Amino acid sequence: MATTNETLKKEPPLELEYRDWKPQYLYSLGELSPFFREIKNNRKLLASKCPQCKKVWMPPRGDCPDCYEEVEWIPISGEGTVVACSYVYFKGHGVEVLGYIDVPYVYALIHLDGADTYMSHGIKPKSQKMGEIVTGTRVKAIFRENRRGTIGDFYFVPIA
Amino acid sequence: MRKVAVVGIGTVPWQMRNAEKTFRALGLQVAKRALEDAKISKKDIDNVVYSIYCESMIRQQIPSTLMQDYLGFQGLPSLRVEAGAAGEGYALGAAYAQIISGMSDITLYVALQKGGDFYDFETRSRGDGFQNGMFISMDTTWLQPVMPSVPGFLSTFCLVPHMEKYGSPTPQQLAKAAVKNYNNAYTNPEAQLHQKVKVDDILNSRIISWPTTTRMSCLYSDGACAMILASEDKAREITDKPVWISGTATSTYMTSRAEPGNIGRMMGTYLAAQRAYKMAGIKKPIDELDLIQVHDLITGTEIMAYEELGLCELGEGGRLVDEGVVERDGKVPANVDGGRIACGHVGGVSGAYGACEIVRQLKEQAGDRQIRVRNGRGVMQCIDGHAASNSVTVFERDR
Repeated sequence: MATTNETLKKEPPLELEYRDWKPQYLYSLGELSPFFREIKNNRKLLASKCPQCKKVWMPPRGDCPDCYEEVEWIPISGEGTVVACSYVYFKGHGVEVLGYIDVPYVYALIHLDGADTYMSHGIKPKSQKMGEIVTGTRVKAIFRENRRGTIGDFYFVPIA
Repeated sequence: MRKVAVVGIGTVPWQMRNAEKTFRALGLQVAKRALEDAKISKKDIDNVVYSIYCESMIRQQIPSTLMQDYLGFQGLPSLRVEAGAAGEGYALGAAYAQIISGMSDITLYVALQKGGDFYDFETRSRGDGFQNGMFISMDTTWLQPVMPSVPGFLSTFCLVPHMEKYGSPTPQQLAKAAVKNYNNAYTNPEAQLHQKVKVDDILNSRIISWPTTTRMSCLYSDGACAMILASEDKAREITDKPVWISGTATSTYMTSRAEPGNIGRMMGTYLAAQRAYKMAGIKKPIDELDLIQVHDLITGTEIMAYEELGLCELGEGGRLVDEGVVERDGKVPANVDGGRIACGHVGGVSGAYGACEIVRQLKEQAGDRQIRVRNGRGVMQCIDGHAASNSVTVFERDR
């Protein structure tokens, strides 16, 4: 059968596989290195404090966005209070903490003691039942064994 | 001062995946339709603005130069603007500014994005491929390793604290807003979903991140649309039904820089609305607007948008749903096209589609889903997945 313009256009779209198109990185943590190195090596959290306005930024920053001053690193306890949270039943993809804690987990805004801003993170509840973690629940950071220097190296649990 | 009008629109039906066309041909399709709608020639265009959200989704960096070639605009200026799923509003603002300044008289605005070619070969799922592929859209240092999803982020930073502060919206109200959008999509032939659903169907669908369920969350689609924008003198030559952009503004307000004063709000939408309303001379939006197209990434952000756009006080958005104010036959209908939940959504395009819907409605060319036009004004609002990039644009027809 002769190929006509019409038959050419009637064929379904040709699909091409791209399996290996995946950028890889050796990613510099730059000015945040002290924060992530402390997590990796010592299971401890640091916060960033502006030497000028004294505001404590958490998550930390290398520079204060208000004063443009380089921050100082200060230790914080890793304990804090939930200010808002949501029980999560959808695992998503590539979420590091969900590589080692199960759903449902609680995604929360946490006011870490001594910080002026809130950090969002995952909380592993004790029970599967909604209502255990609420606004006001006290939580603390737990560090996993295999740490590499990301905020996925730790998670939170309620303080009993 | 010069003025800017929309003088032509071009849309295509929303599809989960459009494998029939590459992104280039998809862009040409909507450009052609917009030119036909405006009844002008391609030669009349002197400038092109692109809203293209994401490069990894189309496996192509710097797509705007390729688009410029495919559309045959050799030598003309082009500009691509991106701001996540608010990029269409930011791009519209840029096109507006170029015409106001005199840099352009007639600009072609093209919003396009495909994401449906993502694929996960392990799970044989497009959805999984999509989730993997778009993950670097969010803050890769502070959010990605711990954050479940965009609905989860918005539920936690915006919706839940808002519910705790005001007791509203309730899960029931969130579901009702979703039902409204499904019903609206039912009458839109270009919508991706044509389903009849009830409040219980919405509430009983899988919880993604409490209180947000899958059916309270947006679709993901391949989509494109285009607009022809013209200066006042050109617009008068082209059409007797111009739809003016009488105010447009953006605000980038980082929700994830969470502090006591800003959780439970979409401050950027509030600030952008204030600026856009000042330009357009709007004082009491509830009495001055005929419709709004707002960002229902989740129904929580739709209802919060009613409040931040000043249709009601903070905490009263759920009431507008209960009282039917935002229904198609209500005082200020919201998302009459079906919104992102039932009509279609992809970053960089859905807000532009909302703008096209407003233009259709103000020209009273919306067929079965035509609303009653009293004031001749509508507002398009869109946000990105962090609710950080916010854009608000006011459209109005001649009085």
